[in-house]
Amino acid sequence: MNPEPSSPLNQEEAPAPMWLIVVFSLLLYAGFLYLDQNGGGFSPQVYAPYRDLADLKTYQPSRGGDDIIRLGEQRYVATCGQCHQASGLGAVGQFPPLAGSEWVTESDPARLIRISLHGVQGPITVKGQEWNLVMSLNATSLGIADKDLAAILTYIRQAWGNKAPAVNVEQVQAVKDETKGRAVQWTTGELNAVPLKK
Amino acid sequence: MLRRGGLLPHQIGGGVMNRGPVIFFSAFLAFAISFFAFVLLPQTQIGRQPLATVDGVANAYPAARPGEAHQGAEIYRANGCVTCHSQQIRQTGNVFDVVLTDAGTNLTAVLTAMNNHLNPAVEFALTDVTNALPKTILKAVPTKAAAEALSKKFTEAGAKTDLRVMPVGPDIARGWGLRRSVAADYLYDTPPLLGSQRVGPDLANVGMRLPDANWHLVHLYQPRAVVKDSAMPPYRYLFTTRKIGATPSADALVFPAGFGPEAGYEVIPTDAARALVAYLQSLRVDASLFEAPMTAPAK
Ligand code: HEC
Ligand code: HEC
Repeated sequence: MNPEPSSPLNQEEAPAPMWLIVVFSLLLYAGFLYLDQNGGGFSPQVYAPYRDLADLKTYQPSRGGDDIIRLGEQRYVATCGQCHQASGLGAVGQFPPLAGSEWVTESDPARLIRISLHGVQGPITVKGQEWNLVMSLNATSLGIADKDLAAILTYIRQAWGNKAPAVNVEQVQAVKDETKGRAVQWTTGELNAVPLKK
Repeated sequence: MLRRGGLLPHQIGGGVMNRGPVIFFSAFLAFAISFFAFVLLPQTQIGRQPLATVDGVANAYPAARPGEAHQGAEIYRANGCVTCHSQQIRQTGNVFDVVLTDAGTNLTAVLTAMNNHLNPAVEFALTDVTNALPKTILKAVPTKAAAEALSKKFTEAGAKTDLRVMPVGPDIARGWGLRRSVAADYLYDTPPLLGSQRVGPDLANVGMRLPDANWHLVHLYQPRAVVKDSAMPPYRYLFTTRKIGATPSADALVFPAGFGPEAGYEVIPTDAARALVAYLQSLRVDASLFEAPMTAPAK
């Protein structure tokens, strides 16, 4: 009935040495630190050398041009672009072109802003061609915010080879104030009477 | 206090294998954790990844590998090309190029900005502002903030600039690719032929780098005909050499002077060689993806 004397190796009460616990804790800490810094938040879209999604976003290339142009393009396609087309070329017999149009690229946008706010009707000459239609929808009826309209106008003045200065929100609001109460489309006669700054 | 597996003294005597359950559970745990971390988790994250959307066009990248190129991947595997060639481009960071896209109307202001903020040793002329736009005016700016600060000097002068995101790294410097490889690049590869040895160059983007089919055929038939002292083995059994008949074949390889078969003979690629080259031409990492952004070169 004598139990075998336990060998020194089998000391069941042997405590784990303190230094080992400290080393393991430090290793664990370093491991988590490394994961935290290089794990990309465990996102499947974050690869080295990017740190995390936010970092990755700062490296996204712009598709040419700046933010205002991109906003303008987006908003244009959903509004004016339904008629004047994404290409800006309009449609034969139905919608005149904006690409290369002198109404769009005039350096002072006073007339352009009026057209987009209330539309035009009756005879109008665009790039030497006569049109006689009604622009029945416009920025007011489409509910386009001033900021978005400025972006749209900036876009159509600089897309498709058009080259004209940007339009800002203040210019849109100024014309809105001047034309308060107007509801009907403009005619070319009225538009030509609008004084332009050179 | 750690107890040996929580066993009582009289249970220990018989040696280590008495702790079978503990060993089993530790081994099971170790296996389960690695299975979870290296197989299950990646599978749930990217296992069903859809084709990538590029410039707002859904399912645009990568391009499918139809017919010949698809068979070519099998020839590539069968010939062990993967033992010497990797297909994975590495990247260590990004830099930004500032490109002048439009000088606007106030050319002198833009010229002043160029002279004040670009290379102080160079005096720019007015023609530098107007000629050959878009023009890269500053290369490899290390941070976006610095590049934007510089762009601002030009936009204030009425010009328009564009920032190009340019990936950098040793592989990219060697011309092996435009940006790093990511999972989406391999969506049509079963299995992905990543490779681990680089006896020869990385081939992930070889279709863009070397688009010429005849170059590849000659290179496979006789690497040293196009690359001096090439260490790549020739793959002559993918070709047949025959006497030129009444009219020379249109498919015959065009060799550089001093190479090729003896006079009166021509080298014709087999279907396997043609498929392999179609596959090599299809290897293109050319799209900017959300997870691997770059300013893609104009198509
Ligand atoms: C319902 C279709 C329609 C929508 C939407 C529309 N337009 Fe028009 N637009 C026309 C038509 C039709 C004319 C020609 C009117 C005429 O003949 O007098 C026209 C003429 C113009 C003109 C002058 C002629 C030219 O081609 O330069 C401009 C500028 C213009 N539109 C800008 C806009 C802008 C900006 C918007 C968005 C806010 C817009 N249009 C939305 C139909 C539309
Ligand atoms: C023994 C190693 C080895 C094997 C196997 C091998 N290659 Fe190569 N390959 C090289 C070396 C070394 C070079 C660089 C010299 C040269 O361009 O010929 C190279 C170059 C190339 C290049 C040119 C790449 C460039 O950017 O210049 C292509 C394409 C290529 N190999 C395709 C293949 C294909 C396809 C196979 C399978 C049929 C294959 N290689 C098998 C070693 C190998």
